Amino acid sequence: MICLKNIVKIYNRKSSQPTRALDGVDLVINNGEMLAIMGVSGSGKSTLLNIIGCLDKATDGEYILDGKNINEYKSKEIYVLRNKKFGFILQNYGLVEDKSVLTNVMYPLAFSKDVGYFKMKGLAKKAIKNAGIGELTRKKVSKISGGQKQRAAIARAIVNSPEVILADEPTAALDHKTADEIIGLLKKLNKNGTTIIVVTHDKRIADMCDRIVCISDGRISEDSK
Amino acid sequence: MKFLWQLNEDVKSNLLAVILIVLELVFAIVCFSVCFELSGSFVTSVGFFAKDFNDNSLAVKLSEINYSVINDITENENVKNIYTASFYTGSYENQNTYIGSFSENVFNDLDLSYKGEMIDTTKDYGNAVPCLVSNILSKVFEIGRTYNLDGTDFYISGSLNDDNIYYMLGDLTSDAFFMCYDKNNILPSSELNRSSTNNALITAKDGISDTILSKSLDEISAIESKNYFDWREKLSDDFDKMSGNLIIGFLVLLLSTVGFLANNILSFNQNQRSYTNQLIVGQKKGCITLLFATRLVICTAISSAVVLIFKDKISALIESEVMTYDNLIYSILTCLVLCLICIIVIGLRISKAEIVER
Repeated sequence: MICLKNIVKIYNRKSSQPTRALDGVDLVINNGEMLAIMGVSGSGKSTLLNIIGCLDKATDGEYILDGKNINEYKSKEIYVLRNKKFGFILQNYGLVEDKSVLTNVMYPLAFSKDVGYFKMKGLAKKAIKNAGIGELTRKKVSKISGGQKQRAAIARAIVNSPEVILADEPTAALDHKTADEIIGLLKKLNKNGTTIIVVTHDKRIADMCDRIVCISDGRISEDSK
Repeated sequence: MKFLWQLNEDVKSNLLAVILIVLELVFAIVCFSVCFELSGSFVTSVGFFAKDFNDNSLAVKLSEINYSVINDITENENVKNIYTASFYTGSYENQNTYIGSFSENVFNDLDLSYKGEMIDTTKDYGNAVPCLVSNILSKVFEIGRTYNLDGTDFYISGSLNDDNIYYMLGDLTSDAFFMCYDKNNILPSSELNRSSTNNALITAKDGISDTILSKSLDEISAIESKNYFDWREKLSDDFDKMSGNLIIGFLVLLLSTVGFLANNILSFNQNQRSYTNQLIVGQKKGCITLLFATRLVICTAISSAVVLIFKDKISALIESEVMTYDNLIYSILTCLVLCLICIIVIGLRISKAEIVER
C-alpha cells in the first residue's frame, strides 16, 4: 500500500523564485488499484509519480510504502524498489535508443540479484511477447515506431514482475488506436493484480481507470471512483 | 557474468569512443615515454656531473651512455692532477709526458719480453724507484745501475722490447719510456710533470685493482681518440637538446591529455541519458562508475599492449631510439593516473546526478 501524507515538493528552494510543485498532497493507493492522476501541464502530477516511484524525494511530508517510511529505506533498498517493486513507463519511453528491444528489457534483470544470467534472455523474451512485440525482439529501439517503443517500455516495466506500474503519459505521443491498445495492456496487467498508476491529461484515458485523482496547483482537487 | 554482459553492452554502445581513447592512450604513452627520456637524460647528467665533477674535471666518453670522470682515473693524487691539468689546460699533442697507470699485476701476469730482470714487486729497492726502460733508452741508462734524475733515484731493472711498449702505448710509441714501480710513493709530482724530456712514464701503483686498470685503459683509449670534453658544455648541450624537444613534447603531451580527458567527459555526457534510463530501472550509481572505470582500464591495457608489441616500429616511425621499456612502464603508470583522474571526475558526476532534473 502507498500512503502519502501532506507531501510537499519544492524545486529550486535556494533560488529567489522557488517552485512549489506539490503543496500538501494526501493520497492512499491500495494494492491492485488502477488509478489515473489527471491534471493540466505543470500541475504536479509527474512530480507526484516520481516521488511515488522513488525517482525523487519529497521536500516535506511522509511517504509510507508498505508500512515503512521511505526515509527509513537505505539507498541500496531504494535501488531494489526501483528495480523490483516498481515498473516505469515514461512518456519519452526511457529506453536506450542504440540498443535492441531485448537488451533494454534485459537491463532490469541484469540489475536484479534474483535472476541469474542464463535466465535473463528467456524472461525478457517472454515479457516482450506479452507486450505484443515478439517479432521486434532484435530490433534496435531507434528503428521502431512510437507505439512499439511504448510496448517495449511496457515489456521492460513488467519483466521483473513489479507490484506497481507507474506510467507517465504513456499514450501522449500515440494515436487513439495504439493508445487504447496500450491501456488495454495495462488493464490486463491490473487484472492480474498489478497496481497501475497512470499520469495523464487525457480524460478519455483516465475514464478507462477505476479511480481518478485530479491535481491542480500541487493539490488534490478531486478524487473519484 | 551479468557484469561482463553490461560491460559488453557498454563497450558496444561506445565503440567509437573506445577506439578513440585507445588511440589517444597510444599517443599519450609514446609522448610520455619520449618526454621521460629527454628529461631523464638531463637529470641523470646533472646528477652525475654534480656528484663527481669539479671545475677542473674533464669528462671522458667511454660509450654513448657511459661517461667517466677523468680525475678518478687513479688514486694517485699526483697522476690525477697531471691528467686533469694536462687535458684541461691544453691539447694532448703539446704535452711531452705521457702518464699511464697500470696494476702491479703487469709484472707478474703479463708475458713480457725483456732484457735484464723483471721488476720484483716483493723486493725492497730502498730509496730507488725500480723501472723498465725501452731498448734505446737502455743504451743510455744501463741495466742494473741506479741513476739520479732530477733528485730521484731510478734503478734500471731491465728493458722491454718495442712490441711490449707498443702494446701498452698503442700509437704513442716512445723511445723515452720509463715503466716504474713506485711502491713507496717516491716519485714527486715535479718528476712526473716534467716536460723537458720527450718521454712516456708508466707508473705501476700498488693497490690498483684490475677493474680500475680496465677502466683506466678505456679512459686512455678515449683520450687517445680525443673523446673527451668539457662536462659543462655537455650539460649545456643536453639542456638545449632537452628543452627544445621537451617543449614540443610537453605541448603534444598536453594536447593528448586534454583530448583524453575531454573525450571521456564527452563520452560520459553522451551516455548520460542512457545512464539515467538505467538508474530508473534499478541500476546502481556505483556500478555505472565501475563499468566506466573497467572500460578505461581495458582501453589502457589494449593501448599498452599495442605500444609494447609495436615498440620497435613506433620507434622507427617517430625516428626515435628513446623508447625504453622502463620509460614505457612509467608512461603506462602515468596514463593509469590520468584514467584515475577521469574516473574520479566521472564518478563524482555520477554520484551527484539526479534522475529527475528540474
